[in-house]
Amino acid sequence: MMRTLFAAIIFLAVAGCSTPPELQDRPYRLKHPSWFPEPVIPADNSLTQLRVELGRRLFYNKAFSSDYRISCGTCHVPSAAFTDGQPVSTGVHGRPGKRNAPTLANLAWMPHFMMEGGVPTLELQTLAPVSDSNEMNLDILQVSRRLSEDDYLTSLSRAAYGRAIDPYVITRALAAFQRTLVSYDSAYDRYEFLGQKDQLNEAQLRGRALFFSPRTKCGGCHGDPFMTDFEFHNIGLYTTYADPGRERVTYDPADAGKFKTPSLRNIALTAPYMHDGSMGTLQEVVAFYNRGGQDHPNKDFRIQPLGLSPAEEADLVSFLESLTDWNFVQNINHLPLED
Amino acid sequence: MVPFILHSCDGNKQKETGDARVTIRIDARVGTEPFEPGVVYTESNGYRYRVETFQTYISMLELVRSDGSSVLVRDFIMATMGSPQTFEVRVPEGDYGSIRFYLGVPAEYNKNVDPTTYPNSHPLSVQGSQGMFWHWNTGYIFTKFDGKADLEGLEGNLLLDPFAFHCGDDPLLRLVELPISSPLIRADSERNFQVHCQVERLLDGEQDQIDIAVDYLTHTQGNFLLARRFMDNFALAFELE
Repeated sequence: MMRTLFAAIIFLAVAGCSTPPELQDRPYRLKHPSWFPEPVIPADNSLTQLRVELGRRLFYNKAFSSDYRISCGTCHVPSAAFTDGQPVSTGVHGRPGKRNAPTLANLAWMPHFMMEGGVPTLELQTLAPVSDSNEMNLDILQVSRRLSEDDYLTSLSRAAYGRAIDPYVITRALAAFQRTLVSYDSAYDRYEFLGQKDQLNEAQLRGRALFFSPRTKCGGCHGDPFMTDFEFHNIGLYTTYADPGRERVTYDPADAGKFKTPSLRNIALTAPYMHDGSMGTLQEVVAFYNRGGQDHPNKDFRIQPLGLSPAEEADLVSFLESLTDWNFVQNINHLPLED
Repeated sequence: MVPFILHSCDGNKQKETGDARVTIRIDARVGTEPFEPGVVYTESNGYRYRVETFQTYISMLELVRSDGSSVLVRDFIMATMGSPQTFEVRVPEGDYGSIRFYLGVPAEYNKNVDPTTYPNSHPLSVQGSQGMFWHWNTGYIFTKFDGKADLEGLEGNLLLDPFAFHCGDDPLLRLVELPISSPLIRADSERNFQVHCQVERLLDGEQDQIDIAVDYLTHTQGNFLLARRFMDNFALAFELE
């Protein structure tokens, strides 16, 4: 009798401490094509299934905003390549943000974050919109307390990171999920890197030739494979910028009006354009570059009148449309999880 | 673990026979009176002002020996000025020529540092930093000096004109070194040092006067030069008693 009781106690103790089968973690293999370099994943945040799942659940959790109305996914909608279609995003209580929501594609390869480049890691970047009074407007410690009330998230946190939910876990899990947002399957990719020559039509081929030509120099900043050089440029959008851009972190007037080059992957889905969402269509953007931008002492020397004909402008737009990765924007693994 | 490692320099070693007990008290004053947030003071232009927030990072507080070596008293302090703090250290007998510290956080702990990696009790952690961290431009806010002034000569205690000095980033780190007039600290003795921050000198500096009617706002970005002027004044505002 005593032996049976003892065995039962041991069984209950073991059962109580072990991780439920659904929370057994295992490595997450980040798929990327041969034309992407290996991403650098931080040593303390290697990708695992549970870390990515936790991050995915947090990404769509509205407890991150002071009014419980906004999640990361509110301004970064998968079907719009993780943008929101607004000139500037709307924060808590309807407050307008200051900038156009950027796409989240291929963040695993991004060397610095925010349009002025002041944040060095994806983990730290997740703190910025949370604390911004025009975005989520909440202390990350308060977010932590809110999330800790969810038993399943707490279990996930312990299984994935070996600790309760706290700012460390939140920043890492969100970064882990966002690193899985990899976009590499556009018609252009298939044409350029897989040799599938039927993927681009005639207009797109003409547009491609123009895009990478010395005449337009588009590819100088928007080159392969990420369609961005990750550098900071002033494109002559304004003669006087309301937003100082890169100058905000360098304090150097020579950096005024410089913003990080956005990736053009999925660009047809991420309207409106520019750091402030001031251009509604790709046609407007191409026409702007064709005019050569406005005068500004910091304007990149490559921004010059291009002399493109209307047909050539249209070809460039066609090429930009070939950068859409429909499998990326329809990937069910990027969508909110059902409880 | 981080605080323990950093605190385990020779200043915090186990008591050894013959060590002297040294305390360093850091406070803020206006003239000879203790500084208090919320109290109305008058600066040299005659403007009345009230400080609502005055916080600063003090880093690498050290006793410096006459041979140039040093004893670390405390690595990082989140100081709420107006609430004096006292730090104790045991040191062997010797000549200690100065007390030295940084205003701000040294570069190796400032940029590319993740506050979520520190335990909550650490001054550089998310909780310990008490909001003194910029998320959009990674790094600590070294000093916040916020309040309201009366630039119009209004009656009573009505102060309507805000000022805010939020200073941070590596170029604004300032070293303060205060000479000790009697360097010898004998074995088994006790020495108490008082470090005063003279708050009035933040605006009416020894070398630069900041007119809050004109220069009243900096978050470092947007007005880096004003942040630099403020930190220069701040670094010269300390006295050792």
